[in-house]
Amino acid sequence: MKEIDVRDYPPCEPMEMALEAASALKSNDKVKIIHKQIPYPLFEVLKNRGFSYTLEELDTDLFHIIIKKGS
Amino acid sequence: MFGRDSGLSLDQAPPLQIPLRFFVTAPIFGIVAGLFILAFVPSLAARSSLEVITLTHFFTIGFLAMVMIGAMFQMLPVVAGARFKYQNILAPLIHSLLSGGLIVFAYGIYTYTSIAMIVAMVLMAFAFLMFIFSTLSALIKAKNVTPTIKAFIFSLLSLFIAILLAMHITISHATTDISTSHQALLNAHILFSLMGWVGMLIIGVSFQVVPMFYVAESYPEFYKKHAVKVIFISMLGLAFGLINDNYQLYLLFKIFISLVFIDYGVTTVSRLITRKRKISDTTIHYWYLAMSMLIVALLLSLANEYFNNYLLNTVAAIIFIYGFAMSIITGMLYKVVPFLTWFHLTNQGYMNMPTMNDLIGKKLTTIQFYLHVVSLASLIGLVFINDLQVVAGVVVFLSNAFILYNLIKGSKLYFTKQGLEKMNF
Ligand code: HEM
Repeated sequence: MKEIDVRDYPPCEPMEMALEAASALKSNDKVKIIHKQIPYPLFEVLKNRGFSYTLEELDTDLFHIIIKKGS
Repeated sequence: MFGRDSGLSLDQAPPLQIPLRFFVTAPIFGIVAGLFILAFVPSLAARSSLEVITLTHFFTIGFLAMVMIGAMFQMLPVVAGARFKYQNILAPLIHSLLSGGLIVFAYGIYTYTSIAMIVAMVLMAFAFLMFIFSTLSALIKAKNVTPTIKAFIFSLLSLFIAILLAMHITISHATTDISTSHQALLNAHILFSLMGWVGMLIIGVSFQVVPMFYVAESYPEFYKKHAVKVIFISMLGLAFGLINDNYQLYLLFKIFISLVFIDYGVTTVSRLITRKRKISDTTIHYWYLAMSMLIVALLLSLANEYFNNYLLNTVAAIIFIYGFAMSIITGMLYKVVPFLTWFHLTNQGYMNMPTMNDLIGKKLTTIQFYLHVVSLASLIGLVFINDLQVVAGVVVFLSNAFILYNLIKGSKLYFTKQGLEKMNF
């Protein structure tokens, strides 16, 4: 699975990077976004664009978001 | 965890209009403050003179509280995954009660009209109390009480105390029944509103935005865990000392609180200096200005305990309100408004948009920053030199008019259909 670490980018780049990666996904692919906070705004855009995601909290400042197409 | 159809709507950002109406109103009251100086404020030397009380609240309620309340509507979903219930009614209601209340308050205080003072107090207290209780009830439901949430809770408790005290002192004025404890209660009102509500809220927001917007290192865990608790408890101690005329206790806690805030200022500056992304924009200058002004304000206020010159305190208050709080809030608005505009358009499916940093443009914010510095200097000057009335009024007016212009520019794209079509090629 492709991984994208967005921790060292200021807004709005993390969201741009995540959305770009999501829209490049093939039907059964997934992409992992490595984030330092829970990106609630990204979740909203993903939902509106028909993606689904899971959130893993590894630490107070380390989160993995796994995105796939459809539900 | 939660996926697409978990029915979780909590993470939804409020519509742009909800925070924006507060953000845009702030510089309008700043403009009113500039006009008010031109017309009625020949000097800032006399604290608690009617014109100074009025002017103070144009800044503290009209500008600071206005933005901070609007920002809370925005931040709650992001920091707590929680949202205001009935936000579509609550936001316009709080906004209009506060704006209307402030205008009546200005009239009531400046002309010393009892009935207007009472009406204003009721309107504004109602707005603040609704805000406090709805925010607190959303915050305590947060699954995960982060240091930012803790800071918000303590800052809201301080605001609650500040408003109760405000009601008491306003009623004293309206009934011209000024008790011997008036001065102590007034000082407590100032303490809980400025250090407590404004100061702790800004600390809580910094925990979140300094690492995020500037890709800087997080604040030390120890500080994040304990700072606001120490400030809040010390404020209670300080207020106790004030009201019971116990100077030693008052001084001890005052030094304690000052040290925690100075530590915050120094830590923030060091985090920003060592930030990973060395891009410099106007908001960084605003942060440096705000942090140095915070430290200067606290040192002046401490120095006053030794020199006992009330002018020192007045200058400290101006520097805290206009140099620290207004600076940081303006800097924050320059980040947040373009970000929200960008975000809402992205969320509606628009592509190929200008980046958020291009929405306002560095030149405009830089000019405004220098106007802000000049207006701060002229307000300090107005404590000592009466001839500065016109200068101070004009630059405060211009600086705030410029903020208003920049905010409109930063959010215009969202509202102009023409802009949308242009982008959506
Ligand atoms: C319902 C809202 C409020 C009311 C009715 C109110 C009322 C008052 C009154 C009547 C005074 C003058 C008392 C005197 O000098 O005898 C005063 C002073 C002051 N208030 Fe408020 N206040 C409110 C909210 C706030 C807020 C939110 C802040 C800050 C964020 C604030 C900051 C101050 C400051 C700094 C002073 C000292 C002004 C001076 O010495 O000239 N107030 N307030």
